[in-house]
Amino acid sequence: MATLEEIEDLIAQVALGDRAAFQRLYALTSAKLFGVALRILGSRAEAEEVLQDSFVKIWRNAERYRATGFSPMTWLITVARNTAIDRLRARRARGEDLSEAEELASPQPGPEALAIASGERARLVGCLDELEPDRAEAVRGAYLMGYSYQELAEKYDVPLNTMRTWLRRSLLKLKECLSR
Amino acid sequence: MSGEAPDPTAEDKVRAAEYLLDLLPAEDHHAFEARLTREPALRMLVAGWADDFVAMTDAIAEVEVPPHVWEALRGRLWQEEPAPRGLRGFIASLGIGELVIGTAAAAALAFLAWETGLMTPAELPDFQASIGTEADAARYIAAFDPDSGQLSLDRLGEAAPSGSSHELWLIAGDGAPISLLVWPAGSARQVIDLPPPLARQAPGATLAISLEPAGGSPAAGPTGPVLAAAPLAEVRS
Repeated sequence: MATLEEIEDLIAQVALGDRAAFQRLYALTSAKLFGVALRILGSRAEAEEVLQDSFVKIWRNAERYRATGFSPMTWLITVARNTAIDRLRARRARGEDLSEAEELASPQPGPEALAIASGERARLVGCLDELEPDRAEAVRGAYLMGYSYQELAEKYDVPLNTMRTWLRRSLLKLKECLSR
Repeated sequence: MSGEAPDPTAEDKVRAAEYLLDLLPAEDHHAFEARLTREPALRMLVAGWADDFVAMTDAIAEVEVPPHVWEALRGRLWQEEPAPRGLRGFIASLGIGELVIGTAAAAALAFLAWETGLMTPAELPDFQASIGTEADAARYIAAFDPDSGQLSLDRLGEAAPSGSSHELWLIAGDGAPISLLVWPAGSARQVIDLPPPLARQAPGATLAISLEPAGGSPAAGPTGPVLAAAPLAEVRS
């Protein structure tokens, strides 16, 4: 199991154009990033393309990583998440039927998943639980499905401004809880 | 201007999350990005949220990636087989000190380019070079995109005579020429992904084509005559 320091070192080496370091970084982290892309998109073929695109970005932007202040796995996963969300949104914009993919994309974690959850996750889950259930779900939808305010408003059948107020309040509550 | 306000406002906390989730209207999004380049505290807020949100992926299991994905990725990033000699030698010869210079402004701007992957990329200028004229033995045009580090070249003139090759060199400042590519016979277009240390030196650097034995220069630098050369100059659109 790679340590975060090791991942961080590898990103630094990749920033210098070190291909061997890039290959090792890929070997250590691609399965996780693939899992995330697959969960978001629900299609292996698309998740494979997203994984490729993500690692192209990682290769090209590794030298910029430091300026972000992100922790290394957060950066890598965020790149994959954003790339997958980008594609998911493009799919929605084309009006494709997503019922099946959405099924795959947002399953609730089962009890086992919660039991093995890391401290970070436990903290987040705990704080999301302090929100009203549909608001917590809206936050999850924004992150894991890339929903816009407009889409969330339609989904929950409330006016756009109401949705915005809801979510903004929820985010602030969430942050307060997480900072405790 | 409230000096060095230690505590972020509630509004900034929420904005940082909205920015990360790409919930802001384009105008607000760009305004927030502009602030990000200047305010480290705001970048920390965004990074903090990124950590928080990423916890939602903790329960997502790893899934083994089929090997062909790596093969395709490698092909995409590094085109053909091994790195051109000159390039590899150049990278190996670089000291760390030289590499950490990237200016704060560039770093800050760059922060945004990758940040969402959803947004328009950072607006860095593009660079072009017209290498050679109709009167020269070699004629190419080159375009360099500093955002991606991609250098693309088109051959407009004749190919190298049989038994010889055109070799492309990058000369940054008064540095030694660095071999970028031995032009493949019969090819009209080539795209090279410059690694970051080299990509940073490319703007303003000179591109030169030399005539070499087939397969490229046997030495570290060019051995044949330079047929044409031109600087990669900024293009304002």
